Amino acid sequence: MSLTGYVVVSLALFMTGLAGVLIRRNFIIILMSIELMLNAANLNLVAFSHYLNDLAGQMTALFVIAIAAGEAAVGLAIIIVVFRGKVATNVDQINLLKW
Amino acid sequence: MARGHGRVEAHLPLNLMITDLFFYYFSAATIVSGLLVVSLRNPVQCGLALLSVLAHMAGFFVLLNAEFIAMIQVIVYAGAILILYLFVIMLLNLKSEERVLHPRWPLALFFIVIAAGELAVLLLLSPFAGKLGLTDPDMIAGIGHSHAVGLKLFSDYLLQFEIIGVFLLGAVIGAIVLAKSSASYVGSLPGGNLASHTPGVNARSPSNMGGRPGGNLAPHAPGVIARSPSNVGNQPGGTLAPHAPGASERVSGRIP
Repeated sequence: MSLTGYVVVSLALFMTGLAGVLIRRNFIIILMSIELMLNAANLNLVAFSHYLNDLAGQMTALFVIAIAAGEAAVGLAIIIVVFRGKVATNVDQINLLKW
Repeated sequence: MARGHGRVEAHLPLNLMITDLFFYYFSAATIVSGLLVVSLRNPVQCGLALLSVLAHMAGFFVLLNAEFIAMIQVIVYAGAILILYLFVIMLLNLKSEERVLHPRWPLALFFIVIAAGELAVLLLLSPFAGKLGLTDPDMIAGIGHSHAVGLKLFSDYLLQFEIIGVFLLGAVIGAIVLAKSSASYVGSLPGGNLASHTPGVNARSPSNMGGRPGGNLAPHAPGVIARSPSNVGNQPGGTLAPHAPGASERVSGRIP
């Protein structure tokens, strides 16, 4: 398969994740959509790393996975705290910092 | 297998065809599962669709000769991160809702389709030519991918590796601090300021509410939120015991 095929799949997945972030209301689904976008970026990195004979892309993919783990932990802790205070996981009800 | 050399693959057209078939299967499964993550109503089903996305992404990494990344993808993503998501979904007892989409979702979808079309045109026009890197694929095939990644990670990327360790430590401490001492944060939320003044009520509030995700709070009026039925339901739990069943029944009714 050529590199373009991988990039097209990555584009479709990234746009799906972006759509999920923009149109869904549930905070947890939004975090999952961010994971989708990070996975699309990972696929791009590994595909370019394979076709360009360089391991740097795969190193970056490893770091992206680690950062995704940290992001998931902190994001889910935040949603637990918000859910304890007011029973809401919808982002349009969590508007304390909005003015 | 479709590496740029064409030395090995020249004798193996059948092998190439099989990898192409796997590529098409993985891409179809990944995209369909991604659409399911975004479009399903029940959060648990969304999590399972995300599991499918991650597993098929590991298949992509195997096709791209990145076995170590595929292993890390399965262990860390599907094994740790996804389990964390499912734990939180089941802890909060999230159910499917009637209105899952943002009110102005057609506008967002319109811009996303335009951006996707533009990017697709750009990358179908792009040749993707570039200077080849220094990593020898025969060397990786000789010593194994994990060995090659380890050599690279602990020599050229040692500083980044240490930084990511410190980052993960910070994330762990942040998550523990957020999830543990949440009583002081709750008072600053507009919906929780009644409940947070009495710690006993505050500790009961998740079990009182039974995890109904939203629907009973008026979202755009803070004054209404402060007197909303969710707080009314919290108060009798501490002081007014005789009125508690009636109040909690009022809470359990979904207010549109």
